[in-house]
Amino acid sequence: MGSMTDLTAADGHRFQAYIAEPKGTPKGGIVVIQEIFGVNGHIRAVADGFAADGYYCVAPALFDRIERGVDLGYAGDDVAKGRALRGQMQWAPCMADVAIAVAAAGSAGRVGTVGYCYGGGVTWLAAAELPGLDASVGYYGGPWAELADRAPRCPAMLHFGARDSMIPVGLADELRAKHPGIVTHVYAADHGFNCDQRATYDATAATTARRRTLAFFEACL
Amino acid sequence: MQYFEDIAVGAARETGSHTFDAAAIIAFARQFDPQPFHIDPEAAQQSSFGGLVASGWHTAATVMRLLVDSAIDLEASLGSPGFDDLSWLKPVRPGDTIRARMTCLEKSPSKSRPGIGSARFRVEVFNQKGELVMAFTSIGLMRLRNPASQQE
Repeated sequence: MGSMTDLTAADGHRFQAYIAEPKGTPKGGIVVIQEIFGVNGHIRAVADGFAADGYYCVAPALFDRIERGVDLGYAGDDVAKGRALRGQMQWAPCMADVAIAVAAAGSAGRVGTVGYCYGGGVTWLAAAELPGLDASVGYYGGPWAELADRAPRCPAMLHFGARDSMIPVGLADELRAKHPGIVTHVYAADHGFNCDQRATYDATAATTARRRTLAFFEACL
Repeated sequence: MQYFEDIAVGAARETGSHTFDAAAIIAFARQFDPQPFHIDPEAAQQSSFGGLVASGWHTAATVMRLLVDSAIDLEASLGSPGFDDLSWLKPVRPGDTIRARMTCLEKSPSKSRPGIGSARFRVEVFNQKGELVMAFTSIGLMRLRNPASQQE
């Protein structure tokens, strides 16, 4: 549905991004931020989905800083490889790449970000650091605890899985106490519940979270 | 705000208007009134309001701005010691346009502070359908143009 394009960060780093365009005039732009598995089939499908709902979507390949063209699955060696890549990522260059993706999405109007797993942390940090964002939505963000003190500068919504062993469910309350303006939702589901390629996929939670996310973007963008 | 002498009991002043959009409703509420029906459109849909609504304080702050913008002369205003009977009568939703009407109920010069008078105003706030969405009674303090006239 979409296609890959080249973007260049402020420090000259060239990286790829998946672009999915809506039919007709876009309602705004959404930067879709990857998990530890790269810009894979799932992330492209998520971008295609938001494009079908009227948004111009940009999914930057953040792992291009470490290794180009990462497109992993959810089993065996791919999990270990994804974790290793994520372990080598640094926040500053990552934010530089997201900033360029936000600028690219800005051609469509106001811009929101949505991120999953590792990308849930990236979207949270982007809300704190990057100007020009009008909404930030994160799903089961692994780095949320590490980034808990960073205050979002735009409206932010976080989706938690109550059975997520990586993210303590108490973090939702903790983050809301620290940042009273954020919206949190907790689902009876596990880490990765939005991803239909994972064993932990939960259609009910995914549908509800997507409805809430779209309503949030509709209001903020 | 006019000088105390310029206020006529029973006279009404109409303000300009302001239209609320969803993003501004969320932006205000995430800072000052982060209840779900002000910041989360989907949660608002499930709430008794049936959709996103502006914080009453957002409406009140907006009305204050409309009142200031419609004032003829701010020089004489000395602020306000408070208000009474604030009511939020109907929700303000994205796309709604409000305007206010301020009517003087009574006024009196200060007995203890020469050169100052106070007046009570009924402030009514309407939406684009003419429905009353908010109302309150405010007390305004203001200077007299001619303090000597107070003795008369």
